[in-house]
Formats: sequence, structure tokens, C-alpha cells
Amino acid sequence: MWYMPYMRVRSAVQVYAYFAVGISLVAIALRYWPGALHLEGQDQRLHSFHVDVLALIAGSAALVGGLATVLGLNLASENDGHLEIAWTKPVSREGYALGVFAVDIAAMVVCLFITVVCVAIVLDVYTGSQAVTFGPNPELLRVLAFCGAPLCVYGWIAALSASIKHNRGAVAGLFWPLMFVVALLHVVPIPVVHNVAAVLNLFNPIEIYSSSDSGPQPSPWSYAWGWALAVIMLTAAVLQWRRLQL
Amino acid sequence: MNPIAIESLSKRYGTFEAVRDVSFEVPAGSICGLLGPNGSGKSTTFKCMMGLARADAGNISIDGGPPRPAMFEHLAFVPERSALYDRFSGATHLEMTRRAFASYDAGRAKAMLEIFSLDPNKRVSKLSKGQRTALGLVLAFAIRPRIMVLDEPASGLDPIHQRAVLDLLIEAAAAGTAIVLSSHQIGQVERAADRVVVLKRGRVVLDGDLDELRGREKLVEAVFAGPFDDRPFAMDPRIRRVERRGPTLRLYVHADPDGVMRDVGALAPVSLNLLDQNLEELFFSAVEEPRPATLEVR
Repeated sequence: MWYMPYMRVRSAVQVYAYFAVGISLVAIALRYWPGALHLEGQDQRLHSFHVDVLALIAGSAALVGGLATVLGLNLASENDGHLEIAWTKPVSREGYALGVFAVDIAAMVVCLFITVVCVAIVLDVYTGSQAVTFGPNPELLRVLAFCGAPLCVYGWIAALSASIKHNRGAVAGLFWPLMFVVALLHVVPIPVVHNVAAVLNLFNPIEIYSSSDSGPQPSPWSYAWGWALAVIMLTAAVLQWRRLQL
Repeated sequence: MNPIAIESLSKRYGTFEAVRDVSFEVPAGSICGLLGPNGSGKSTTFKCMMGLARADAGNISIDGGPPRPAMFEHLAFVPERSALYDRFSGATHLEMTRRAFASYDAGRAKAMLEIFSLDPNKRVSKLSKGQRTALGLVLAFAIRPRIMVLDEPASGLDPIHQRAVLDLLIEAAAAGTAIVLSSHQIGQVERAADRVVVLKRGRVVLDGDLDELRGREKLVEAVFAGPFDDRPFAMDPRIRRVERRGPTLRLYVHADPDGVMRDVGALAPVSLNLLDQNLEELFFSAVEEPRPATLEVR
């Protein structure tokens, strides 16, 4: 029933995997380049690694975020000339949309796994087996909660684009700049702007999932809200999808 | 109940009334031709039948109930415009159909590919318009549907494959499939269909069994030696359309042809004939502007 969404996602995952593996190979090659910096773990904790390594991790996260942005447009791409096929199968519109979501989310899980493996290998190469550890981790719940970030982005994009027939790329293109601007408005020292931005940022994935060494870490409630927002947005996408007509 | 039953269907897009009070039925084993000029409401009717658009009023019954997902297990819809995925091949589309429909018949699909000389490994983006139409038909026939709804099914096909489509439709109808198709090629519809519904500006202007229509709708053709007055016929309720070509008067009659013959005979023409109408004449008499649309061609 969801073979076409699967085929579409398969291509996206393939491209993602090529990028992830390619970046990792480049990183590994740089490690052995004459004069390359050899990073040492300071206290066996991931956040203590050199900023370059963190940049690599951030790059990987951006890839996942990018994938969520691309996959979030899948209902819109069905709406761009394929509804006569998508809606004439023995499955309800809601069922079809939920199936598309399931396929897309599975793809994001696969890509997260690819990212983790690639980052682990690169860290291992850079630090001489000091970085990657296995076993019980008290931060596991926080890490899993953070995995809601791409889902939140995916839900937002799906909700914004589900009823769009053409120009769905504009949604993806404008989403991130808009979210960054709203996030930056939060620090504008004008009370009205600050307050409006504070409300808007309740729905901003960047603010929900952002943290810094100097500021407070997001609370478990913030992560839970991120997951809830994803569910709300996906529901909004389904509601739009079922109301569409040719 | 007939597999397809449409009753008083109406649909508006904003202020535009796409279809109004459209009713027709298609029994099992029957082919119904839905005819009409561009913008007459054929595609809108199909969209409402398939649940792709919401009807504003009326009842639609497909396979014994309102449009619903389960009906598509035994229903094939071929839209006017190709909805295929450009970046995927015919084989991928067939695999999609195989996975979605329990009734998919791989042997049938293979035979259909051969009939239409299609390479399943070609991407849709590399296919011509006719080949895309053909692929849509392959997907439709591959599930051996009980109901087929085809919007311009032969569009872009060469004459050989157009004929193949008609043969396939006739064969499917003989096996009990209820088929409704639209086409601008009246000759094709006349060859395949046993019923026709003609739409004009969203309304049904002609509907019925093709043989009955041919028997009911007559053409009175008279040739005059000198001047004659055709104005009385322009307002005659028995006459759909009046056409005047030089000395020849043609009256498309839908009631009381014998009475019309008597009235024309009273004008003393040099020749007077009562003819059956073919589908093309039926179509034009139904959709061209009525009186006072006396057409004079000199």
C-alpha cells in the first residue's frame, strides 16, 4: 500500500547514507593527514571533546534535520499530481497518511542509526578508543528524548505543506530561516518583542531542543513538549490531507 | 442495484456550477459513454464518483454503497491526466499495484504490457503521452476490476492501440464489468458503448440506451427547389436542432417524427427522408445551441 512512499524514502536514505559515509571517510582521512590534530578525551565524557568533533556531530544532526525537512514534504509531493493514484487504493486517506508517516519515521530512525555509527567510528579513530563506551548510561533517556527533534521538524513541515499543491519547496526553504529569526527575537531587549518571541518559541524546535554549556539544559518537560508538538503537527497534517479534494 | 448509480449529483467550485442534477446508472456488463464538450462536467463527475471531490448534493452509489476505500479493491480508475510518478519505472508502478490490490493478476499485467508494447523498465518520465496512457490502462486491467471508470482512456494512443483498448473494454464488459468512459472520439464510444450520457454545461442533455436513442432520435432531411421558411421549426418542441445548408433542411427530431414529416411535406420539398441518427449526430443535436440556432451554410 505504501510502496511508493517507501521507494521515495529509500532514495532519500541512500543519498543520506552516501553523505554520512562520505563525510566520515573525509574526517578519518584528515585524522591521518600529516600534521593532523590528535584529540584526547579529557574525562571520558563526550561533551568535553574538541570543538571540531562537536562540529562534526552538529553536521550529522543537521543532516538528520535536513532529512526530516525533506521527508516532511512527502504528503505535499503526493498532492502534486498523484492524488488520483494515492486515493484510489483500498485504504482510507487517514490510513494512507499515517502509513506515509510511519515509512518516513522509520527512515529517520535508520538515518539516526547511520549517523550514530558514523560518529562513533570517527570519534574512535580520533581518540584511540577512548570516546565510545558501551553499557548503562544515565543520559540515555535524555538522548532518546532528543531524538524527538527531527520528528518535531518533520511534523512542522508536514503540517505546513500537507495542503500545498505546488511550491512545497518554499515551505522547506523558509522554515529554518523563520525559526532562526524567531529564536533570535527572544534575545532582543525590547519587552514586547521579547514576550511575543517567548510565546512563538514555545513552538520552535530550535528553542525546544537547544542547549548550551553556559545556559540551562532543556528540561524533560521541554523534550516531552517537543514530542507532543510533533504529534499535534502530524494530526494537523492528517486533518488537512483528509479535507483535500481535486 | 447497478454497480454504478448516480442520482441528482451537483458540484460547485466557488460560484462555478461544474455539474448539476446529473443522474445515470450503469449496469454490470454495460459500457456507458459519458460525452460532452470540454468543461461540460465529465471529469468532475468522475472525481465525485471516486471520492476525489466532495459532491454538494446527490447520491453516488458504487458497488452497492457510497464511495469508500474498500470499493477500490474491485474498481479501476484511469484519470484524464497521467498521475503516474515520473521518476519511477512501469515495473515499480506494477509492484505498487501488486502490493496494494489483492486482486492483482501478474499474468494479466504481463499480457497487457505486450498488447501495448511497453517496456516496464523505462522510467515514466521517458514515456510518451500515449505510453503513459497505456501504462495507466495496464495498471487498471491488471486488477481485473468489476467496475472501470475511464476518463479519456485512449488519449494519445495510436489507432492500433486505440482499437486494442476498445477490444479490451468490450471483452471486460462481456465478462460482467460495468464500465463508464469519457471520450472526445465519438466513433470509439459508438463502437464500444451500449449506453450514452451527454453532458452540456454540467447537465445531462441526453441519456439512454444507444439503440433506443437511435430509434427515438430521427433526422428529417428535406431538399427544396426554391425558397422556404424554416422559422416554424425553430420553435417546435419536437425538434432539438434545425440546420439549413443551402436548399437542404435538416431537422434533428426527438419526438413525433411522423408528425414532423407531415409538416415538412406540406412545404412541398423535392425530396424528403426520415433517417436514423448516428451517435455523432445525436451528440451534436444534443450539445449545440438550440433554437434559434438555425445554421445556414452557404
